[in-house]
Amino acid sequence: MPPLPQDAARQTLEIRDLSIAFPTPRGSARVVDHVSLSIGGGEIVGLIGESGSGKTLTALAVLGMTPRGARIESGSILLGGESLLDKTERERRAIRGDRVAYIPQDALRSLNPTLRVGPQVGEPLTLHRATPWTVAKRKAVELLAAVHLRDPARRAEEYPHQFSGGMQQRAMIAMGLCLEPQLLIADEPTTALDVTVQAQVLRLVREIRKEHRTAILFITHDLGVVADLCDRVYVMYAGAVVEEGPVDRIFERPSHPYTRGLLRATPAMHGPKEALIPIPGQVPLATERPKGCRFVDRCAFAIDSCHSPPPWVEVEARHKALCIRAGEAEVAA
Amino acid sequence: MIAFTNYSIRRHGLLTVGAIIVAAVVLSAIFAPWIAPYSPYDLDVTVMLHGPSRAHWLGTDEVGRDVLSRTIFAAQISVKVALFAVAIGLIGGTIIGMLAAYCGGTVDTVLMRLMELLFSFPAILLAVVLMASLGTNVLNAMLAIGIIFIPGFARLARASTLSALQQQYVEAARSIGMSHSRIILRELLPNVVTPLLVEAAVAFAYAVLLESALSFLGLGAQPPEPSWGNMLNTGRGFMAQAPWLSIVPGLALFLCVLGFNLLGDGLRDMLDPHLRD
Repeated sequence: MPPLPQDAARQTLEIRDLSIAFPTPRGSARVVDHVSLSIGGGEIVGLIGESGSGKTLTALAVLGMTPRGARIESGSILLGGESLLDKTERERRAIRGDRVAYIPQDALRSLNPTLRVGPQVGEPLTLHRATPWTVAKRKAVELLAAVHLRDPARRAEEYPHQFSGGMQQRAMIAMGLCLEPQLLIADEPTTALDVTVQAQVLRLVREIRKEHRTAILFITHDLGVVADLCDRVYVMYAGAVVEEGPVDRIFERPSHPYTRGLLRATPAMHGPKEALIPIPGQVPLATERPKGCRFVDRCAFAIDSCHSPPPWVEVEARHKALCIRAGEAEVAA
Repeated sequence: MIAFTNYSIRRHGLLTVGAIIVAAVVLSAIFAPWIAPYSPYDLDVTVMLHGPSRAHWLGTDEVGRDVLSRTIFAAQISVKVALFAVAIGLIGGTIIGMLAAYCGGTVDTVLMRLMELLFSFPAILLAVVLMASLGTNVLNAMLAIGIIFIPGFARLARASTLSALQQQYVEAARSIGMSHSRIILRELLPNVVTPLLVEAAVAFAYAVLLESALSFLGLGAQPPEPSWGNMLNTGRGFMAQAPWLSIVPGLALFLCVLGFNLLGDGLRDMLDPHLRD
């Protein structure tokens, strides 16, 4: 399915100008810094960046599950046009698991070891629809079948430790799909899995999009997965989105030096072997970011004006980068 | 919840011994009226301070009551007090500990400081003080001993809850919109209950000892109601003429405490994955 144009009707999820900060002894650390992001129905959007770039926190903010101490400083989060940040905890709880599903980072530890898998998969039904347990149980078995688990009726009676990693991940996805959410947030769902199982999970994600027109936010640092799965990509660095665009354009013409660095530091699946070039230096701490462009200290293309805040530059249609030199021939080379 | 599947008598010998002793004590407490050859209250001045004989297997006391019968009936008091005391400690401690861990922040600080305050008193002293202010009877003994147990269980419950809270499944439960109370009851409780049950078995032994100590001091079961503690206290005066008066309840107490300790240790070994195999 072709990705919807950006300004199509109403986006399923729209994050505008979101900033989240934690108080620290050395001042407030803004871990998510003016992030804007949108996902339409049936669209798979990748959010990439290294650990600590604020990807997970952005996702948790959508769920209204930011950790203790986190303060949302600005911005809004709209789900189907409804503002989530204005809602009470009770209202958010009614949305979680019903309209928004979350597949956490480590599926191998996301199922409660003391409970059978079936009841856990069917739990959203009993929580949100007050479904009698017998019905929820039948639905849980159907869901396990839908994620291609063999012998689902027997599997539903088992405990998580009797499942392999891939099976646990699929059970988590089944739980997420339980109430056919508008939005599915998958936080590095394939990181802990081996490659063949990873491929199965990705196929499953595509199926879900196709059948339910679910909007999917796929958080990962695996560029291969992004290239394979996503329609559009947001690249995050040190708390901010630095580049966004359709996935093929980003890979074809990475315009922020950080995105370029990221691509060059990743082994290519196809094509000639090239030397991997690491990005020099380290991600600055949230309290010690440079005044201008946050990448300036590690950037090979930095010029004087990079020490003041960079502008968004539209490289081509629907593809833009937060870099004053984006689109310049020398940088793109 | 608890894996009894890998049980074997050979590997869990001490556990088995403990379980048998505990079963014997509990059964004799329950069936005391049918097992005991005499009533524990019937006086018989013709057999005062008689040694062990065919009629009175373990002798008689200073007013001619059958020591065996009194020892068996005393198990009732001990088991009853220990059961209620441990229940109070377990339930109270679990609620306080889990709430402290789950809520964190000020709630955590206030609750745990309170627990430390309780913990800082020597147990027996605290029991005596509580009994003195509550009044001396068996019910208050249960309450006093139970209160003493609360901090220990609370600490354990808090620690287990904190480690369970780190687990991803709690976040997963939140992400499907589970309420706080449901997370605590359905997700956390089954994961913290095992160490608490082990602690309960050990606390049981301690409760029996404390009850006896209180009764020995005259603060627990009141004569003529038999309790190992007050029997020991009576026996103290007849150590030379009738040593069985002290030896029999003393041995009963010893066996009972030994049984619960073995059971507790055995359970811990069996349930602790690090010590398994």
